[in-house]
Amino acid sequence: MIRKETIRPVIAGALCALVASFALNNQSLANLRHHLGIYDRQAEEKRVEETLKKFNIHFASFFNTAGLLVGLNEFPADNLVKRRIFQDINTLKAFNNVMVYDRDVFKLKKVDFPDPIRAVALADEVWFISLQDAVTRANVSGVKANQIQVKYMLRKENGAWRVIDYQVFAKDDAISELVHKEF
Amino acid sequence: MGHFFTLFAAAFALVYFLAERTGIFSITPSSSREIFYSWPFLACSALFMFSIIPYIWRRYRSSKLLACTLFLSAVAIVSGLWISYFTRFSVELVLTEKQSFSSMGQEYPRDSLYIGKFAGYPSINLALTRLNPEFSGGESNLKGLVGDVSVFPPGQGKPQKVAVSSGLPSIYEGFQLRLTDFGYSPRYSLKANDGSIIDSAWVSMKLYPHGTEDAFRLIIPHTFFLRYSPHATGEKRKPFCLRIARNKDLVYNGTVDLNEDVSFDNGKISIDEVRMWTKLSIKRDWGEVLAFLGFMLGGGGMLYSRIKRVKPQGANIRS
Repeated sequence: MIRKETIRPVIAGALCALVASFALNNQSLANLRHHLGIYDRQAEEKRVEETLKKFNIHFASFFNTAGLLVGLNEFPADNLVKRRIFQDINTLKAFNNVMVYDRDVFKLKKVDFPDPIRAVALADEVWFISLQDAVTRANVSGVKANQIQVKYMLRKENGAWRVIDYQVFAKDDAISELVHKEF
Repeated sequence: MGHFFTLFAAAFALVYFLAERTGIFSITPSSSREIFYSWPFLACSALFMFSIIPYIWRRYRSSKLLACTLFLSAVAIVSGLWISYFTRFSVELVLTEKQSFSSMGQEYPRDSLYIGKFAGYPSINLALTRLNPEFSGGESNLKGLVGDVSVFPPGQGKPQKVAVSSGLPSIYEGFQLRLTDFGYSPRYSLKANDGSIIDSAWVSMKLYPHGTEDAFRLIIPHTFFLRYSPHATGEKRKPFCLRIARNKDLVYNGTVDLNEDVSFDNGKISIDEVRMWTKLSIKRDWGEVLAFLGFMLGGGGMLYSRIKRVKPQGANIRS
């Protein structure tokens, strides 16, 4: 038989531990709800989809305008992603070229939420890509129909989703479990 | 009150550890080290030590030897934790075979570095000279790792060879050395169209288990995705699956042989050599040793009480 003198300190210690753990973590309640699966997953998926649509609109517009900075602040992407895009645009510009991205299909296939502030989304996309002369806008190359699958890694910052990285696969490629990296 | 606080602290420590380790209130679970070095856990350990001393004395005063043993055990465990918190040095170095590391010219990797408030930065100069993975069930399961590290003591020319493994740590001058991870490091060569090499380096990638994909990026806007199957050789079965993406433009997707040039945009790339990499865990933690001795002492004390049939004072009163 467990005595009261034993059970009381044990319960008090356990409760204090839970309170301490709850109080010392940011967004404890939201995290707990996520781990228990008590959150509006559909609404979150919708937010991710909207973010990716916005990302793709800005992505294409940066390339098509040879790097006009309009919309850069609204572009939901990490600085490293922005740098990679503008590095490409500037390399093309140095050769007096513009890469024109024309999106045909964007279909979100799957969204996973490994934890409350991270999402991994997989989308089927078709882009018509052509290389044009920056001045005359004449096609330098033929138009390429690029059928791809894109795996986006997103992170929630200040309540809004941002693309931290993305990986491109061919249309029929098996999507490997890419090595988990912090993002 | 000693009885109350001892049980309180023990329950607090256990539940706090479980809550943080499972990560029910946090974004991701904390590591054991993060929990042990968190202030609630440290404070709780101090409370435990100060409350258990009078408790041990009251319960086991009939056997002074046992009381002393348990007292020393509690002190060693808790002070071991605090010493560890203040003086521990630990780091994990990703090393490819034949690669060296010198703390004089290179920085310790920050993501794995822990250095206590009163610990100094040790001077470490070493090289991974040999690495042998041991597999079980084909090559899909890594059973263990063995290797050799050459350590260059400061001020001495002759390196000392230390055998390391993924099992028990090897001890070298107070440091515990252990291997913890495994993968492949291909050496790429980025070339201009005329074949001249622009850039060439080893890149440590998570390509194990075989067929796992990882990616690397260089100074150009391309991403290189790679898979490696070491035993795939011959015309039809090449060891590498390479995919090159330039933002959303997929510029190459196919299999590649060793030393085979792959043309893309205005350049070429080839994989010239593959070596293995591992993570070398280096740790100096006297507190951990003390805590371990404390646990041994506590276990010995409990065993002694069983053999000698020492009854706690409270139990005598009840009976």
